[in-house]
Amino acid sequence: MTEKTVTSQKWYSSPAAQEYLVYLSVILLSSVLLISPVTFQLEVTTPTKDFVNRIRSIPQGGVMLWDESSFVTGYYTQGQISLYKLFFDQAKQRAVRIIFISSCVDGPMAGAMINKQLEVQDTTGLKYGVNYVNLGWQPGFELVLSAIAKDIQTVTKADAYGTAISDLPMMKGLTTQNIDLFAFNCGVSCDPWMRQWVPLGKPILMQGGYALISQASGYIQSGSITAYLNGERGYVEMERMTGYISMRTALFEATNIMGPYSIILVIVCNISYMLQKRRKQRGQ
Amino acid sequence: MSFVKQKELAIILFIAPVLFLLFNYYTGISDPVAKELVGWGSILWNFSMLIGTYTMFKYLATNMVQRKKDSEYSAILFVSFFAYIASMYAYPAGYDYILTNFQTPLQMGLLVGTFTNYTMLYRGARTRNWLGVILLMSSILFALRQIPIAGQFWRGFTVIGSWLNDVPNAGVMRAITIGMGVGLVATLVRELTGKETHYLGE
Repeated sequence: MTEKTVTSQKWYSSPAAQEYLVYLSVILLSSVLLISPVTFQLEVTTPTKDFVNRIRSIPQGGVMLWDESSFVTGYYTQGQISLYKLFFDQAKQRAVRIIFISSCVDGPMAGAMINKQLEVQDTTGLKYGVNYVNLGWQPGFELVLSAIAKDIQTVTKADAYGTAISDLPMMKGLTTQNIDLFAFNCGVSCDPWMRQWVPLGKPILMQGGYALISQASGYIQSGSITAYLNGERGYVEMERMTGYISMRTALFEATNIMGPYSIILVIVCNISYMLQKRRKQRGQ
Repeated sequence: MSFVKQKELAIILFIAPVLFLLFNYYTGISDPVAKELVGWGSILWNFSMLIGTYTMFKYLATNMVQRKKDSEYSAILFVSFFAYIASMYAYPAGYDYILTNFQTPLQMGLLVGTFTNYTMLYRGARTRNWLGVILLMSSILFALRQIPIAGQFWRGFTVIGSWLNDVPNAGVMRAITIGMGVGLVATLVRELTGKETHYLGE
C-alpha cells in the first residue's frame, strides 16, 4: 500500500497569502502619509527651470497655444491648475494671449477638463475672447495638429462655447505664424506633435509622464522640444518654483515612501526567486 | 463589375489626395485647397466615429435579441448612452453632474492599478539572465532619479539616472524614431504603388 506524504506548506508560501501581504503593506505605508507626510527638500532641476523661464519669456503681448491632451485623471484632481495659473499670470503681467485647445486622442474629456480648469482660475482683469480663448476639443488628433500648423483659423469654426471664431477679437487676423510658443501635454508618444509643429520653427514645450519624456529624449537632445516637465516630479518642481502649490505636491510626497517600497519589492522578489531555484536544484 | 465598386477606385481616392498634399507641402502651391482637404479629413474622422457607434449598437442589439449571456449589460449600455446624450441637450446640469460624479470617478477607478502594479512587480519582475539583471538595475536607478529621498541619501542616484536617460536611452530612442520614420516612408511608397491595401480592410 502506498503512503501519501503530506508536505506542510508555510502560510506565507501560497501566492494568495503573499498578495495579501503586499496589499496590506501598501495600505499601511499609504496610511503613514495620512499621519505624517514624508517631506524632503526637492531640488528644482534644469529642465523645469527652462520650462518655467521659457513661458515667462514669451514676448510682451505675444501668443501662446496650449494643447491639453493629457489623461483624464486631471479632470478630477484638477492637476493642471498650477500650470494654468502660470499661463494666466503671463496674461495679467505681460498681456500674453493664450489659446487653449485639445486634440486629445482619448476623446472630449480633455476638452471638458479645459472648461473645468478655466472655471477655477482667477481671471480678474482678463477678458475671454480678448486675452484668452478656449477652442475646446477637436476631433482628428494629428489632423488637428496639422490644421494648427497650417492655419489656426481653419481648426474650427466656433470655440468651445459655440461662439464663432470670427467674433472673437483675439482670433481676428491671427495666423499660426503669430503664435510665439506651442506647448502641449500628452498621454501618448509625442511623435505627432513633433511631425506637425517642429517645421514651424517655434519653441515647443512638453509636459508628460516619465516614460513619455524618456521616449522623447531624441527630440529633447536635438532641440526640437525646447523644454519639458519631467513627469510628476517636474510638475511638482514647477509648483515649488512658482509657489502655486496644489494637491499634486501633496500626492507627490507619497513617492518618497512608495517608490523605495516598489524597489524593495522587486529586490525581494528576485532574491526569493533565486532561493526557490536553488532549493529546487538541491532537491533534484 | 461597376467601376465604383472596384478596389481601384478606393485606391485612387486614397492616392490622389496624398499626392496632392505632398505636392502642396513641398511647393506651397494651392494652399487653400490643401487646407480644405485637411478640414475634410477632420469631418471624415467624425463620421468614422458614427460608423463605430453604429457597429457597436448593432452588436449590442444582436446580443439582446438573441438573449445571449450577459445581454442585460447591453440593455444598460443602450439606456445609459441615450440618457447621457439626451441630458446633454435637454438638461446640461444633469449631464455635468453625471460627468463629474459618475463617469470621471468610474473612469479613474478603472485606471487605479496600484495593487495590480505591485502584484505585477512582485510576480513578474524576475530576472532570469544577466541581461535581465542589467535591465532591472537600470530601471531601479532610473526610478531613484525621480524620488526626492534618494537624492538626499546619495546624489549619485540622480547623476546615474540622468546619464542613463541622456545617453543609452536617448540613443536607442533616436534609433527607434528614425526606424519608425523610415518604415513610415516605406509604407507610404508601398501604399502609393498599390502594393499595400490594409487601409481597405484587407
